[in-house]
This record gives sequence, structure tokens and C-alpha cells, in this order.
Amino acid sequence: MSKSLKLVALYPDHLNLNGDMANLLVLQKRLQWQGQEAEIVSLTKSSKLADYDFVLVGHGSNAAWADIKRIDPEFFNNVVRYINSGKSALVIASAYDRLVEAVLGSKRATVSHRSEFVKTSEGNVGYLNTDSNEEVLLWHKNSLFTLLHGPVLVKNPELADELILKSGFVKEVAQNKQSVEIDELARASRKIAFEN
Amino acid sequence: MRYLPALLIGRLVRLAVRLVRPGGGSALPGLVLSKLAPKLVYRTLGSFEQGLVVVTGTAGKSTTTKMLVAIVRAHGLEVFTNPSTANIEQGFFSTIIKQGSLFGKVPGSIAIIEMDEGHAAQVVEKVQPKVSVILNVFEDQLDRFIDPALVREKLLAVAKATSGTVLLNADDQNCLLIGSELNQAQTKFFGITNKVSKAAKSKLNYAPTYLLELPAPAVSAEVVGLQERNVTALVAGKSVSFDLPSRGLHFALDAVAALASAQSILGEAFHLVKASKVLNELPPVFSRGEIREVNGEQVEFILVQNPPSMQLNLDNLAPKLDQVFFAIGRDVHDPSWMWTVDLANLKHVSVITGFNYADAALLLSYNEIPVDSVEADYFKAIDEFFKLPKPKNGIKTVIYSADSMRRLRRHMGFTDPEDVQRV
Repeated sequence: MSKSLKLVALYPDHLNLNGDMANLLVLQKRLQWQGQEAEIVSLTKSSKLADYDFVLVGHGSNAAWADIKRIDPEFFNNVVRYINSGKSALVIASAYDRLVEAVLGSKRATVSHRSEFVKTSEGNVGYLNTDSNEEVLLWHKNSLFTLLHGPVLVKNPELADELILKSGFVKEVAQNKQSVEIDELARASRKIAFEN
Repeated sequence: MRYLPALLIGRLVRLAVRLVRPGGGSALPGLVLSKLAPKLVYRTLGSFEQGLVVVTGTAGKSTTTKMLVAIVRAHGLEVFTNPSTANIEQGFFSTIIKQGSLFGKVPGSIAIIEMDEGHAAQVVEKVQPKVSVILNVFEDQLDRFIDPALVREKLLAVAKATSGTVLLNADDQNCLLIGSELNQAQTKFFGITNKVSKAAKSKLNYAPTYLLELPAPAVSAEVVGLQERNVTALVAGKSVSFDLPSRGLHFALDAVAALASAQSILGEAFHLVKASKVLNELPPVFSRGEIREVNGEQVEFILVQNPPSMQLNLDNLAPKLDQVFFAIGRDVHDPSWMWTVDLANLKHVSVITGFNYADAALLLSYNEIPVDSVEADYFKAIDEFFKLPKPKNGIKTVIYSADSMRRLRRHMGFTDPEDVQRV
């Protein structure tokens, strides 16, 4: 049996403003449905990221980010090093805003603030609450940056499976009883988002 | 006289709405009046002999306002207030249509108004409150407020606009930060002792400031004991005991906020025993732990509007409930926040429904909470739930968001928000 994967919730008390940490639960369950065990580990030290298989960097308030900067000054350098090493991460909303320049080397593009549901050209749906004009979904190496805040993988399970495959956690993702039921609900959720 | 035509039109719109939807609330009359006579609400709120009292903050506004209004009325004052569903500007206009004369006069010597935290900052630019009660800042409605610090800024604006006393929650660092920017003689605090907070089933998780803790201020009213619904409080050094309308630490906090506020408003005339008697007899605000009879059996109705209200209400659910109805409606614009709530106390759900039924079902599915039925058709779901046989454990429990609450109450004919019994 393959070893259990370790999925990191990085500063979960700080970076879970819109329920972002739920994305780890989605990955854990979908991995388990493929026969791959995974555990979620809370981490409040960025220096040890290399020891883990996956990192979620969620969305936080300005006060939360200021606190992380104070208690973990190397936070951004450590996360960038981890992502550039080719390991997988999901980087959400304000974390995307704060990491995009360091990762891509270009200045963050902004627009006037928008709060709305959006649908990407690939059909992914989520809520934007940002002044960023960066790509809504951006793949960099094996990591996914998203402006869609909160539990983006709940609404978009296909994106979760793509992240699992790109991370090399399993060779293929097969449908099963649980995923069929849940994916049907996710389809309904995406449809409803635009009816309000 | 200048507002007569606008108020007449507003009343006609209200009448028409009620003919089409008997007993149903609507924002339309208030919206129409706000367009025709935008300054009326400020003139009205500024017209009370004993001034305007604003109750605001993220959570607890409706219950605190209802408690405060009842205490002040028991002391003989005539109070103008708004229903809990009307805490934004359009709601104030609707309340004036409903309660005022055709000349815009509303009864009362004092106005005690529950105000949405975003709208309160706008209203106080035009009408100066005499007293403000600022309950808390939670991480809520971030699609609207973006960052909790912005909510704190709005509440600070309310506090700074207040001519008299500002009552603040001593246990919330956000309130202490607001207080630190005010004249100390102007502030009064209410709170809960650490011992009671630690022993409670639920925690009041205010929006963290991540700053060094500010020193705890002296409080004018404090919860010093809580056993189920029974509260022991110290108010200005005097001990008092009473039963809450519903169980929960948050309702105990609302009660001491109301006691401290009433004492500030009434001054020497405040009578603690009379105030506690009011709290002992007051029914809950509708759907805030309201228990009423439906088809010959008791049913509890619980409104969840945001992360703190869902968390606190789930934490305080009666144990081993057999039958729970869970409906998340159209008012929950972005359901992401539901994923910040710890669902450990929700063991089983009979029916999931509401406009956002799919998001609610996803939440419970991923958290492996057993669900008997997911029903997209809301009225079918309601009928299905109430046809279930009487539960073996506990009573039927309805957990719903505001839109689902309004639709269910209309469907079942519970249209009078004042028709709430204390059980």
C-alpha cells in the first residue's frame, strides 16, 4: 500500500477567511476514493514545507497577513522556494496577491474592486472578491493559483482531480459512487451560482 | 404636510403588496418611499425627545434590541423601534409607513433602532445617536465588507458620531480598539467573565485583531453565571438572576448588553429587579430558538445568518436530535462562509433544501454527516419534513437562513413576527 500523503494547512487559523481550508478536505476525500490515503496536517512554520506533499495557502485578512509576517518573516521566501521546487500547492485569493510577483516576477495587475461569481473559460465557477486583474486560475509548475476564494474545489471537483493528477498523487482518477453523487451536486451548485 | 403624498403612495404600495401576498413582508413600500422622500427617515429618527439609540455590530442585534426595548418600555417610556427584518435603510422607511401617521409622525419619546453595521455608519452621518450599543465584530459578509477591519472602521464611525454613551463589548478586542479612540468618560462596557466563557458549550470567536491584548476595562454589567438558560449577572455591582428566552452564551451576552444600555438610557430611574423580570418573561425574537407548536407537536426554529450565528446555534443544539431540517436560501449570496463553521454537533439531517441546497448538501456530504433527503423543491421539502412522525429523540428542529425562514413562515401561515410564545 502506498504511503499516506501529507497535505498541509498552512496557518489554518489565519488563512481560512472564507473556508479556504475546506479544499484540503476535498482533496483528501477524492484521494481516498482512489485508494490513496491522505492526512491533513496543520502547520504554523513555513521552514519545513519540503517535508510535505501538498500545501494550501489560503485567504486571510490584512491583520492576519501582518501577523504572519511578524511571526514568520521568511514565510513568502519559503513558500516560493517550495512552489519553484515543483511540489504542489493551492494558493488562494490574498495569498495569490501576495505571492504572484515573487513567483512570476511581474507586477500584480489591478482593477477596481469586484465582488461577483465568475465562470472561467474552462467552466470553473467561483466567487471573486478582489481588485486583482491577474488570471482567475493560473498554473505555475505543479501549483494552482486562484482568485476564486473559499472552497473552490468543492464547486469544481474536476479542478481538484486535475490538481491530484498534476501532483502525481495517482496515475488516473476513476469515477466511483461517492464522486458521482458529489459531482452532481457540484454541477447544481455551479448552475445555481448564476441564478441569484 | 410635505411628506403626505409620498407616505400615501407608500401606504398604497404596502396595501397592494399585502393583497397579493397576505402576511408577507416586502422591501417594496420602503424602497418606493425612500425614492420619493429620501430625507424623511433622517427627519423621523432625529425627532425623538429623548434621542436615538443605535444597536449595531455583527451578531445579536435583534435579540439585544428586543430586550432593551422591552426593559425601557417597562420603565414607562414610549419607544419607537424597528422589526428585526428591517435593519437597513429601506426597512426604516417601511417601519415609518407601518407605524407613522400620514404626516410622517411616529409615536414615541425615544427611538431604539437595530441597524445593520454597514448602514449604521451612513445613517449617523445624518442623525446623531444619543447612545450607541456596539456588540461585536465577527468575520462575516466578507463579500460585502471584504475585511473585518473595515467593519470595525464603520462601527468606529458610529461610536464617534454618538453624543452620549457608547456601550461596548469588553470581551471583543475590536470593541476595545473602538473604545481606545473615544473619550473614556463616554464609554461603558459589558461582558462575560472568563470562567463563564470557558465553561460554555460554545465560544464567541470574534474577528481576531492579531494585536497584543488590550487591558480589560471595568464593566458596568457582566454575566457571572450561566446554567442552561439561567443567567446570574452583576449590574453596577448588584447581583441579579433571570432566565433567558433561549439557551446560549450569546443570548446571555445580549442580555447584559441590554441591561447596561437600559441603565445608561434610564439613569436613576433604572430598576434592576424590574428589568430582570422583563427578561424572565420576554419571548425570543422569532426564529431565534423559537419553539412553537406545529401539527400538535413542538418545533424549534433556528435562524442562521452568518458564521457566528450558525456556529453558536449548532453548538447549542439539543443533543441527539432525530429530525433536523436544514435550508440555506437565496440570501446566502456566497455560501463559502458555511465552510468556516465547525459542524461537529450536527449529527444527522433529515432534509436539506433551500435555494442553495446543493452547497448545503456538499458541505454535509464532505463532512460525512448523514442526510436522509436532498430536495430542491422547497415547499415539497417543508411538507415532507412536517409529515415525518414525531421524533423519538428531541423535537423537530428547523435550521434555516433568512430567505428560507421568510418562505417557510409564509407557507405555514406564521406571518406575524410578534406571534412568538415563550416556552
